[in-house]
Amino acid sequence: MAAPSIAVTPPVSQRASRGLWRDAGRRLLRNGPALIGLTCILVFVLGAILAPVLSSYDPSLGQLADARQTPSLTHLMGTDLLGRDEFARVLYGARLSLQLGTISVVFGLAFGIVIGAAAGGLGGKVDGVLMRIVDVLLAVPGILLAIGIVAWLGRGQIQIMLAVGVSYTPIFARLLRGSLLALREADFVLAGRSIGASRLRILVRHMLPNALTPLIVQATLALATAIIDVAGLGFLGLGPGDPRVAEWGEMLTDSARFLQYAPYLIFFPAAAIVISAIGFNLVGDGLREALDPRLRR
Amino acid sequence: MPRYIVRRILGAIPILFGLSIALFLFLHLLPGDPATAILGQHATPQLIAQVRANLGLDEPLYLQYLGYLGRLLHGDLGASFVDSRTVVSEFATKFPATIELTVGALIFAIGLGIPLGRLAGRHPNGWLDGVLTVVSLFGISVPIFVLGYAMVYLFGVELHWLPAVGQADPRLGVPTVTHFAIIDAALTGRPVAVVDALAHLILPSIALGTIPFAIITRITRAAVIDVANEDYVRTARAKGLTEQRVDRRHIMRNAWLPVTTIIGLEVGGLLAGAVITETVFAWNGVGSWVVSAVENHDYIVVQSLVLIFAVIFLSVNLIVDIGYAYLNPRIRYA
Amino acid sequence: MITKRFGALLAVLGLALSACGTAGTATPTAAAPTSTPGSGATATPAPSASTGVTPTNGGTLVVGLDGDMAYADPSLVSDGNSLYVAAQVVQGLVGLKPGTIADVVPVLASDMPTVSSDGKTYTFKLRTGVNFQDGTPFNADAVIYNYQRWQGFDPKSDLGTNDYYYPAVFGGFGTASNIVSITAPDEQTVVFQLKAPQSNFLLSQTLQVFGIQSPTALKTMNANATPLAGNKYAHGQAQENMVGTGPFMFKEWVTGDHITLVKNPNYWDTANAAHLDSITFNVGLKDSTAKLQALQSGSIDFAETIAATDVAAAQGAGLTIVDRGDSCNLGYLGMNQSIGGKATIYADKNVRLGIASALNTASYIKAFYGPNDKVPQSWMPPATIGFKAETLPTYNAQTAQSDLAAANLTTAQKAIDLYYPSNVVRPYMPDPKDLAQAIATDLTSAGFTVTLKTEDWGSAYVNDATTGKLPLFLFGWTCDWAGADDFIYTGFFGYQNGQPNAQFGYKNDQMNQDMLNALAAPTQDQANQDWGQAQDLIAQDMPTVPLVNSTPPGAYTAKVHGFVGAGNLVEYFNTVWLSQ
Repeated sequence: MAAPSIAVTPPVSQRASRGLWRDAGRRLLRNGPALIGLTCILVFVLGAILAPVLSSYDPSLGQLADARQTPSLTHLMGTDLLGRDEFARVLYGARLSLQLGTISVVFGLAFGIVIGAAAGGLGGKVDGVLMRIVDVLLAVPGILLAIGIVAWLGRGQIQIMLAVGVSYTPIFARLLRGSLLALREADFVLAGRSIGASRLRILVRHMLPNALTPLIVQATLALATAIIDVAGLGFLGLGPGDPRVAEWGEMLTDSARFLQYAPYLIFFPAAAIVISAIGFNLVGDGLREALDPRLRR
Repeated sequence: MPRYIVRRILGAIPILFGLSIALFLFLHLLPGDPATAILGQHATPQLIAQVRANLGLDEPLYLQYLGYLGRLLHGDLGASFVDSRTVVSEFATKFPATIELTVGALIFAIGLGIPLGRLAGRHPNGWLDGVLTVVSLFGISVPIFVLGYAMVYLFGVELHWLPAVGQADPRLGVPTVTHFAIIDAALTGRPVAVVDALAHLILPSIALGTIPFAIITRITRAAVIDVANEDYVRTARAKGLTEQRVDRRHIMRNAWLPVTTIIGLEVGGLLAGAVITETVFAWNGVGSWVVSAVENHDYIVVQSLVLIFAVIFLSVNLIVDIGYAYLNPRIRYA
Repeated sequence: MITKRFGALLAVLGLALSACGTAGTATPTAAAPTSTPGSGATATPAPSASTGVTPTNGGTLVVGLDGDMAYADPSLVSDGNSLYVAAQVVQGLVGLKPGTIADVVPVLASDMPTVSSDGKTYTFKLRTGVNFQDGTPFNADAVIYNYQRWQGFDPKSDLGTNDYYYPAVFGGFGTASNIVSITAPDEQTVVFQLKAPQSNFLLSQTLQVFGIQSPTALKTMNANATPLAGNKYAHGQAQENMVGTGPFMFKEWVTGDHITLVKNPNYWDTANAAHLDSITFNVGLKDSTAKLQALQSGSIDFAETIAATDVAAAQGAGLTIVDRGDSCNLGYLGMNQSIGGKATIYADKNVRLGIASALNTASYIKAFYGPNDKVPQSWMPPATIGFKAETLPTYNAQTAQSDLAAANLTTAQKAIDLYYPSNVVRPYMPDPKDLAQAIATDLTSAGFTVTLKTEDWGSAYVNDATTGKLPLFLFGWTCDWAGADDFIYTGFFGYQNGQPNAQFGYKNDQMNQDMLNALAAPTQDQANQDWGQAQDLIAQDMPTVPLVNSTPPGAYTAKVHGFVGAGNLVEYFNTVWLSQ
């Protein structure tokens, strides 16, 4: 190979690469929409943490005498059917909704990684059997899976998170398996095998870190839909546990019938869900662009 | 190609078999009893025992499963425990509505999504691209029932432009023949009826199709951007081909690939959305049927329905994969 | 680039916000007129002459029914939707005066029956000149055929397991039935011979399940085919279905979508023939918001029930709210005195009385129910035959405190579970989740620590409640007929197999005996005395806390006239007409 003879000033993006994630982080922070997304998410996270400071009302208990008040100075977002302050419920609701969404995706990731890694890393018969199971899971629409799990295990937060998580598992499993299968032929893997490293070691130390990238992106995008899926399950009457505890999806479902008289009761939880979903979407998109190897040129 | 298709079909059989066994076991392990769901507040221990005996629920599990399988292979998909209607007749009544909804949603999603996505991809970061991104993000993020209620309120109640619920206006007296509202209307030969059926399809299609629309728009946009920068496109332009030709023969042909994959995957998501859409717009489809069947422990109905859905899902994926091969000649299925 | 995207984002957000602003300005105007119940004066359903307007004939009425029918054969059903439709098509020997819940009037009988002094023989004279909708003449043989058909259902078949009412009223099928014989001394007379007197005989026969269907149709269409999966008559898919004598005829049933009835051109009561050409019952509108919006946009003309919280919006949109007059249901907070053989804290009367005083029932009714719903004065609504007003505890925090203090509960005992059902709307409980939360708040103020639990109504809750697995739960009873026996004997406290009802574990032998005496009483007055005594005892013991007697509101558009509503949701559409 002839050495390049033309000296060209390398562009900024070609500065000495300090590793995939540092680079990605840098690119992400320069991405405008991704920054907006991050801000949205941070606002809700902070709101959730600082809820007791920002609102003095109890989000779970209310007096019927205070019911259905429109937004005012005493109640920034009005009160709901049971007299509870809506602003407090949105703040405290962030805790539960973000938690439900995040842990659902974590469940899905966990199951998906285990299945996908076993299938893609070990190959052969294991791959065949596991992928058939994934196909079976995929053939059942996610909502039926969720209903089935709730019907089996009863209502509750863990059950909802499991239900939503399981419906994401096939995607994660397939993604990981696909990446791993592609990587099996990669140079560094062949190199590892030639020096005698065990399959498991190669899998864990070399293949997984590279294969996880598309999963991270997908997980971020899944966070957006997880919150909505939980809300959808609530609409079908399968919401989590205690109805007194604030959760955006429950709040939305309960107030949907008040569209014509108290639209503020729909607007605020809906806005919370939409904004946080948009936030996760923007960050996910930004991550995808930041991690795209083609843009590293 | 034909060998590939045969292999796929043969490969589907163990999946369906495994699915039916898993379903059967799962349903029978559920806490709760179909007999109590049927009898409701009028249940007595004797009645419950009698109903269970009539439904064969006291036989050993493997016998029940074999009985079900045997009847299945004879084309008998069983009947509901709750109202004794056969799965076949109910399905024939309800599935057309879901098909209408799904097709309407896909027409909206694809018909608007691909052209808009293409435009956005051709002028990335322009104002249209920005608006479209925001709209698609909203589309993915707003729960269907909120969107549905809001649209009905705006267009049905306030503006009176579009009907609020149902597949057709019963006052028009269109006889029910195929259970496809549009076809039944067309069979009467009265344009008023056809227009009425189409009008009833608009809002539900938009509500159901918003999420696929958003996804298809973004995927198309990304695919168009990717392809537009490929060497072969630049070559085509350099050859002097008109922009239209470049667009049609080179860019779109290749951009279709990821779109078709997504459509295949979206079918499952469409069913989930259909459940909610059917409730909000009061359409007599299979979505709400299957949900109430699970809640009522209507074992036979759930088993047969899920199997039918699985067959549909696997078939759609097979068709998509074949279409994929057609669009991308480099893919050859051995 | 950032600014362009940002700008678009802001613009769309702004649009969305402004749209939400306008949506909120729909405020209800002055209350629209409500229809008055019971304006018919004659025996059979009569037109409401009070408006002085001549009804126009013709048109299709589109009704939003609460849900789908179970079967098209009224003999096999016990759900409200099937009975609502059947009321237009089949008629029995007796019926209820339109708009009332307890006024028994002769329908296919020409007069009220003569009853022997021992209460065991009922002689009915039948109306002449009546034909079934398929042309078969109505006579004593038709009546006997129908009653013998029900008596002859095999209790082991699904005909038997689906027919709830015949054995519930008469004690069982075949020889277990209280009807010894039915004979026809002539074509226009039917004589019932009972084993033992039954004070609820006449009132129970007003139910649509005892509507007389054409024997020709029943035989030709194979109405007794079992199992029901193959019975077309039961599913409304035969050549002719639901053939009765009423003002409307069954036309078609597309399951899950709609039921169509058409006018009976040969209806025997020509003065009260139907004005409408046809009625379409839309059965897919399970969601209350969808139903309201369907009404407001004109997709449907009439909604059987609307949510109580939608009444204001409906009135604001110019819809008329159906005033259903007398309630025929009771919602209550159930307390179970023993679970699995062990006594619970609710076995202590002080706890029960304390809870009764701790609940601000009036505030729940104001928040979650309609304007006509009332705090109960007994364990049945006031219009029930046999009702006696009792003095029940009112909301009083001090009384609650002292009662509960007398009970001497430990902290562990004060940690209680309150159950409410999901996925259901009942007339006495339109919003179980919010009602449960409001009750939990009041119980918390009284010193309890409340954990809210829920189960799915159809698949678990009803069964768990009725088999006595739930300690503290929301429940209710919609009447089969407006009699005291239906509420406090069948529904609540009658002993079953010699044991108190497992739902409550409430043991009071004197009360049970009073109720048995009432059931066997030869005259209604004697029965009412016994019912009254039973209610006194129940009021002293407070086994459950009655929460509400409700009448679900319905609504219809300005095109609809002549509708008469009733609290037990037995309503007739032959008086209804449409204007343009």
